[in-house]
Amino acid sequence: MCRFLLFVLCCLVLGVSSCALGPYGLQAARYTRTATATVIEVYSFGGTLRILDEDRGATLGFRKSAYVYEREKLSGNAIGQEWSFFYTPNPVGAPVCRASTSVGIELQATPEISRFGLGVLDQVISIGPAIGESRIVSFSYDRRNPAVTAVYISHNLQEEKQTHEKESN
Amino acid sequence: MRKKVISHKVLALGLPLLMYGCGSPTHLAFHQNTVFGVDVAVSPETNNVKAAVGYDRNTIALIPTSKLQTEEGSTKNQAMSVVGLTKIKVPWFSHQSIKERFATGQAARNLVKDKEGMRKFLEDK
Repeated sequence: MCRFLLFVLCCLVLGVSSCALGPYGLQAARYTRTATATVIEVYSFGGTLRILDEDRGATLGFRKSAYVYEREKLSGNAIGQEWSFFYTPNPVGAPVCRASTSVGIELQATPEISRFGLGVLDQVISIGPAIGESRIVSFSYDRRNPAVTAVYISHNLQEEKQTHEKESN
Repeated sequence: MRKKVISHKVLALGLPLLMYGCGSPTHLAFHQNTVFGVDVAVSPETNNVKAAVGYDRNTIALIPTSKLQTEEGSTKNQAMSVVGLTKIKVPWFSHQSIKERFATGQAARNLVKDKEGMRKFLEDK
């Protein structure tokens, strides 16, 4: 029984030729840029080893992971969507939200949780600042429609009040 | 020669425990989790090992703590100041949408003192 399971596991690893290591490998990513946010949805199949600090782990099977970032202030990228294949670079800094759906074997070693999963695993994690940091974060993210994603981050209450006033205007 | 066999149970429980040393919650995090299958998880915050077989769904807020020196010279844990609002829509067999707003640290403490600011902050637009 043990050998059979090992055989099935080997078949999965070898049969499915795709694999990815960090941002490189057989994976596809859709970049959605809105006025205030950048959403990266990464689709991978086969063996995937993730080395990003906020999303460390490995998957054997299918995984769709999405990372929501505040839009880079000096970004020259236009609002819209584009696909990237084989190389999926992430913006500098930590995402404000991370969502993933994985089907298969999942190993996760993130600061929030360490786990081993088998089957379907779906999770959404909102990531705030470290202890001692004063920050106001407001975001909305629809997993079916990333084009309506909005992220606002401010570092003091006065700034947040101005943001509210801008929104109401 | 005697063969050493690693039990599946030891492997299943051991992997997350091995990974536990990789990190501890240093940041505020709101975590929603849905599992259909087998899941063995370790929370660095509580050191609890949780195993689930079948369907499981949970929502967790991880609030980091720091050591605070008291006047008597002893230390005690102090949780991070947080004011937050979360709105989640979870349709059947589909992906959810999330709206989240939170203030931390001094901003959260200022917000608590400012009733009008707090009311605006918690308004669901």
